[in-house]
Amino acid sequence: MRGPIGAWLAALTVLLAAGAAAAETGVTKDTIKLGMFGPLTGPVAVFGYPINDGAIAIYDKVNDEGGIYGRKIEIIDEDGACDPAKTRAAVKKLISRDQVFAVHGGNCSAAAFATRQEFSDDHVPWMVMAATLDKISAPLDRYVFTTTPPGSTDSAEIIRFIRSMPNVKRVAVVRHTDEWANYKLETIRRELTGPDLQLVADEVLDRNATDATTQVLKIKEAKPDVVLFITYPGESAVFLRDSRKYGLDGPFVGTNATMDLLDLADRAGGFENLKDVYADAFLAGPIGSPEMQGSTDIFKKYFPNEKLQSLSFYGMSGAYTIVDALRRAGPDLTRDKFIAALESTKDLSVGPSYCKVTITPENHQGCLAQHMWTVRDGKIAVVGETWKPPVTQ
Amino acid sequence: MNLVTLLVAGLANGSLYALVALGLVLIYKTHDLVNFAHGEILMAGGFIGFTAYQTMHLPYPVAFLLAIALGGLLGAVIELVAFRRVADQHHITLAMVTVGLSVFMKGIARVPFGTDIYTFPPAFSADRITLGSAVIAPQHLLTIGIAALLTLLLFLFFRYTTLGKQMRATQQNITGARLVGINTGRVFSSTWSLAAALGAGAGVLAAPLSLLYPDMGTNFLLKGFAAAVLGGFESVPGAIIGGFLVGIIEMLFGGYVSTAFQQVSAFFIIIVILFIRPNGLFGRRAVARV
Repeated sequence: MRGPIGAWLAALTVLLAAGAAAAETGVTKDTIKLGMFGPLTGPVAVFGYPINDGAIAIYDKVNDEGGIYGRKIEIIDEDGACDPAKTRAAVKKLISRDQVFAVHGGNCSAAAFATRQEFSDDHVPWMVMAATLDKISAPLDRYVFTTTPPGSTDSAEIIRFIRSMPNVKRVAVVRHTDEWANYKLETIRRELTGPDLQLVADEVLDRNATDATTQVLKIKEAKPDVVLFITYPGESAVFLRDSRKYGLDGPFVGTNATMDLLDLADRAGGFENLKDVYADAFLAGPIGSPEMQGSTDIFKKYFPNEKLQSLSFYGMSGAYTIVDALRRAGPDLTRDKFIAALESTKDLSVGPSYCKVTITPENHQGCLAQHMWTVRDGKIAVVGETWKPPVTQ
Repeated sequence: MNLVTLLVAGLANGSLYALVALGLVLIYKTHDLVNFAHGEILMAGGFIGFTAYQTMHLPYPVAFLLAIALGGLLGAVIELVAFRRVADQHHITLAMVTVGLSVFMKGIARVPFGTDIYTFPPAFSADRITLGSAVIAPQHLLTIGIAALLTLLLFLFFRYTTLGKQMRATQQNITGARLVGINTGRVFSSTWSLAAALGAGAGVLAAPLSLLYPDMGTNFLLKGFAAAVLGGFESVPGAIIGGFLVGIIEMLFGGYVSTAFQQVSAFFIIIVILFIRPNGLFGRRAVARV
């Protein structure tokens, strides 16, 4: 179509397109506003900045490469201090006052779960950052997505792994009593009632415990073939340190909360306290491995002064998935198109993650595979999804 | 479950609680004030020891003494800057000052150390000691030994030195102390200094058992507070015995009853004891002449 009428129609189309884009909350001609939240203050701030900054590094890279259809991703990072009430307030602010298009956040399970209803009620897409509690992302909610393996995947991998270990029948557990640990234990306990695996000790180690003498002695008395530690890194370090102190030998198998084995060794007082320790992991490889090089370079470029640690990669898979969906949603971005794009994600390689992300309208848990790491010769080694005997060099 | 192993571990933890409780009691006896920043003084001691031992590579005894000395100095500075001008205010005002101080000190610690968690290695890398079926960690013996030594020095200080006697006199009757010419300002400063030195020493001993981070003091403050309440908040021997008891109760409860209630077991026992003796094991009922 040529001539003045064609020009007018073209201009009208552009205006309508711009109008439609501007009409979507959090989207302007130049920006897409994404909310982010995590524990940026308080005792668990140690998890906050490293995880969020890893995701921000991916968004910064996308912006430096021109953004998405010319729009730069603008991040508004809020503090929830790992507290459910504060986190809910932070999310309300992001949705109501900041008017974000979508949210990528949530590193603490209980606090993240407390916000789930907000997204559902306000129809705001939410990509969970690193919280793993199953009930955050299941049952299915149209607006809630995750690319971090949920707790049940962690438990399933632990069970698969210990079943593949030779001569393992008697299983001991040391655990916290919060929802995060209870859910994992519930899944594991169901598998420990058969003739092949038996639960012979179940001991509680409180959060912030500085001593695990009684837990270690009780587990030692139960003579287990393997010890599972469903505890956070600090308490895991205390338990492993005291295990060595009182002569409790492994093998020990931990959750993905302890996959940063370098950090765990540091806290436990050295690699000698991590003998025969395995940890579930959702990253493709440890820091320094070829699988992590690309993600490492990105993080170092955008956060040159920040310490590189496993946590630095936890939020990247969600960021890659969001960016991919934003691209596939097209230039006329709406939340409906974004959700449709997310729900058609298939076998997406997401940088540092072990699995490829697949999301469908029936399943918003995008990553359901993990593998085990251990320490060999002072380095972190990938063992695989099942146990393999150590390779003698 | 080996009783000796549990008792030694309980005594080691209890020694730390006792040192924290001692610091709390000293301040309370002088100012009628619970120092909610005492956990942060312990944290400061831990970080001073860490810096001296790990970063500056000074020998462990030097790092320990440095932490005590700088902890004492910190106590004197706190008294001078934060309390001297408001010392006569209501004790709730003073308590709020300590709460503010606690938050401030944690914030200050995050400036150089960030939110990372640090590991303070034990003074001995020696293997565990085995006595029959009992297993004893050398670090536990060191903790018990140093805590006992500090406690002994404290008793000698109060009994035989002029300043110690002046501190006791001020704690008993501040007006009377002033009337007989005791420089109570100096006594206040010395009390804060002494309490903080004990807290800092506890921090160096606690760091290898726990981990080092700006919020590490909270747990020890709670346990030290429990020990002080159990002993009777105005009793120095009570604070020490209370500390040992809290440590041992925790360990025996976890060992012989359940680990699920280990952390709260000591508090439960304290409630029971306070029902029977409302002023604690060694406390006396306050009697006022009207």
